[in-house]
Amino acid sequence: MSRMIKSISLFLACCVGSYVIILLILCNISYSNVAVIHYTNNYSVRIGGNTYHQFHNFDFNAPHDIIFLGASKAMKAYNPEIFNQSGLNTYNLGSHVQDPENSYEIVKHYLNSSNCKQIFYEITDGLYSQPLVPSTQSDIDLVTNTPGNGVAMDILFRNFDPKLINIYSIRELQLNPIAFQAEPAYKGLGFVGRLHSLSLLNRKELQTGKQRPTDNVVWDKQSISDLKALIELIKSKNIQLIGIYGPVSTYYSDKRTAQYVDYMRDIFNSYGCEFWDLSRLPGIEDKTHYSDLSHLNKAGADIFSDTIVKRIQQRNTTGREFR
Amino acid sequence: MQFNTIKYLVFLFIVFAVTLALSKLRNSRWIILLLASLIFYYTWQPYYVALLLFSAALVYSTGLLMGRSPDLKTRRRWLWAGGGVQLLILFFFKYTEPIISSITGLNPKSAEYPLFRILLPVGISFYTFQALSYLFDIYYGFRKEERHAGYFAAYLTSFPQLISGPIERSGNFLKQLRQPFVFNLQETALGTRRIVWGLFKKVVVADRIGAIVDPVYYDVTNYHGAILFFVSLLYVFQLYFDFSGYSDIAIGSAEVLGIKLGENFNHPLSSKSVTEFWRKWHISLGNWLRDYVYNPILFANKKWGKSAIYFALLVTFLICGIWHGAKWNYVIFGSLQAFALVVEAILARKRKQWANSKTRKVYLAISWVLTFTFIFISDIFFRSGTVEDATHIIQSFVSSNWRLEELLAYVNMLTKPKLAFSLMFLISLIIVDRRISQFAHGKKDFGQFGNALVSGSMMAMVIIFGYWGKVAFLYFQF
Amino acid sequence: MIDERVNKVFRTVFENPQISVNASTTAEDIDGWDSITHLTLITSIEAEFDVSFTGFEIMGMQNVGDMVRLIAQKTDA
Repeated sequence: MSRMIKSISLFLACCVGSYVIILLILCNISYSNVAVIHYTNNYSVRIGGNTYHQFHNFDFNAPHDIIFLGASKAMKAYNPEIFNQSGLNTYNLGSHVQDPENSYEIVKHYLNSSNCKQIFYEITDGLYSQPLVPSTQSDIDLVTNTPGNGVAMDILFRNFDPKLINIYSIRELQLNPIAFQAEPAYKGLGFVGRLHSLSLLNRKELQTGKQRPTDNVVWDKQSISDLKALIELIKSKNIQLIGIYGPVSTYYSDKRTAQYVDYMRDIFNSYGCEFWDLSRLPGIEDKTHYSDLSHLNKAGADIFSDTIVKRIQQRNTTGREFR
Repeated sequence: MQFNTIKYLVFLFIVFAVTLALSKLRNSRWIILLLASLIFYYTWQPYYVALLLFSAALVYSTGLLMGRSPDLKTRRRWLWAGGGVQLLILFFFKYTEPIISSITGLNPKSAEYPLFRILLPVGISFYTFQALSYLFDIYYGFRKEERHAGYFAAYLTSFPQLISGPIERSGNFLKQLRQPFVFNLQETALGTRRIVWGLFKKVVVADRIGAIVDPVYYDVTNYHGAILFFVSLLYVFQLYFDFSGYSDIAIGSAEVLGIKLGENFNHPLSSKSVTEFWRKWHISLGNWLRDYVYNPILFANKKWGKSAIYFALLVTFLICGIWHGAKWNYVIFGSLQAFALVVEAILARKRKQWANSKTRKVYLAISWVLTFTFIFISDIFFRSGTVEDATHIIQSFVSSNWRLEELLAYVNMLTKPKLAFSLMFLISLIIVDRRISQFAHGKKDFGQFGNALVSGSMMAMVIIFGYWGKVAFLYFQF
Repeated sequence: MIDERVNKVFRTVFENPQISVNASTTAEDIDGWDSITHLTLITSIEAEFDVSFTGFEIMGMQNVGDMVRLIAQKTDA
């Protein structure tokens, strides 16, 4: 028995030792200004980019009125600048493929009733129904780019996956990581506003609709339960929550969108939260206001954000809630 | 539960710990193995566990009936009945959909025909062949029937080989399973080494190469000679490292549990003849075909003399091809093997002379080149989606339009450092394959610390350099 | 008596005058044993002893001892 323990310990020691040494070397030698580690696998991302700047520039102590949360649909639809012009203090913490499980981590570690009065949570088609978009990209993104160890460690332990172990280790072992710059479409305050509209390929797809999502929604049980857990967490922190289904192009049929809205509305209402159906807004057109079939471009986002500002003002003066 | 996941390693460790803890209890071994295997299969396809158990019951009963038969004729009848039903099951799940769609031209994968979408039970080709080997062994008198249902079920469902082999014979397996488990540190250490080595071959090399090969094979007709040659060459190695890596994990897993399975690969790419290749590639399948298809056909027709050999080879390798799938590609693949083996059989005498002559070295070098080229061409048929794709690729080699710039553009797109790194890994592995294999087989010893260092650093490299994600083993669809 | 004639056939088929088989000899023990030589061996044995084996009987032969037993059965009948 003791021989076996000695044997296992020796193996583990050599394994961990080699692991740390190899990573240290690969993280601190560069080729073309990029650490060599990024050439040796197919999933690690360099520290930096939109998510990095978005989270590192977030003032955790400021009393925000509204935080926008959700996937890239949220990140590209809510322009805090428009909101802030009307006197509100807002910030966008939406990020790529941020599924409810990862949104949970962000709320858990970064938000509380002092720095966040309300959360506007954006519902993205594809994160709650089949075919389910996997959240791997978000896991990698958040483990690499979020400040503090809380979010990274939680995501790592939730998905015990060699990729994430490596990414977390890379993050810790890089002695002088240089965060690369966010892209030009990143406008600050967490918002990404692309300037182009639908490509030729997008337009063709809109017309032919060959790979259009079906009219019949097949819900993913796990994602729905994650959503409920997220809502419960937000409520337990005394933060007001509003669920929103923002604009989508007609690539998503009215029938499908309606199913999503109805289902989500029931969930949010059951927790005493408002749910806003803004899937089809007058003034937002397929051809000019979308950068691709699922995301608004800057022009579209500005119109959308403006619409919400007006709705909030209306609410404040009339006291009428939107359910 | 894929072999290349942490979940599997934890699962294996638990099965090992339970086996060790309960080793003093009589009969614990088959119960633990059977339970673990059913749980394992359940994580793949919950509903098909019932089918697997049905096959176990079917073949077990057939074995009993054969054992009880007074004469050969009755035994043969039971063999046909039981074995026939099992084969029909295999045939139904594997071949009906492709055959129907090729006759009617309909595509079952389209949403309009959900009814005839038949989901293939994972591992069915492998466990069917394991089951048939058991029945044939009884029929030919190589063994007596297994009376204990539990032991038989544990054999048929045994999780290390269940999904993609090796195709194990009941005699060897059950003899070991019947012995109480005695913990042997050396054996467990070797098993672990084997698993780490298999993982290395699979996730560090094969999957990496796959990421380079797949995009081109996805859209073959748009490419030309240079790039197609490059990725096809890479594929030969990808397939070898993928499948042999998988087998290593399977064999290593069984070794950890105290059971020695038969080897499945023996450095086949260095073969100097196609005959030699089939003794070193997917050995368990080759042996199965030899013992249960080739030999019976050969001896039944021995009055034809040499022609019996050619006929037996043809049938055997057509079956080999079709076993891989109901696509014309596989039929051509099988036919190619048969053709090459027949040619080599015809030239057998001459080849022996050349191998013993003064120009031995030249002969062997040319033989290797020819054999490798043959494997290269065969693998193109193996990998391509359709026969048209395969013929397009081969035609592109002989056309004058190789479009080297296409290859260079692809290389550029792949980011040169990433590609360089992948190729570096591949080439290093080709060079050290034999040496590390010996280490993994326990034939090389570096002392206690040295062994731990080699295995430990290999495991670290698996974690760091592995291509993790939704990449399964190539052979699991069989 | 049988053993020596068997040895002679083996030596001829495998072109090796050193071969000496016993009851437990199997294919693995003989250099150059492949399906071609196996076939030649069977047909040569049949010719030498003037017997005929069925495919089933050949399949059942696991070693030389089995072969010898079968020859004895057929020649005594």
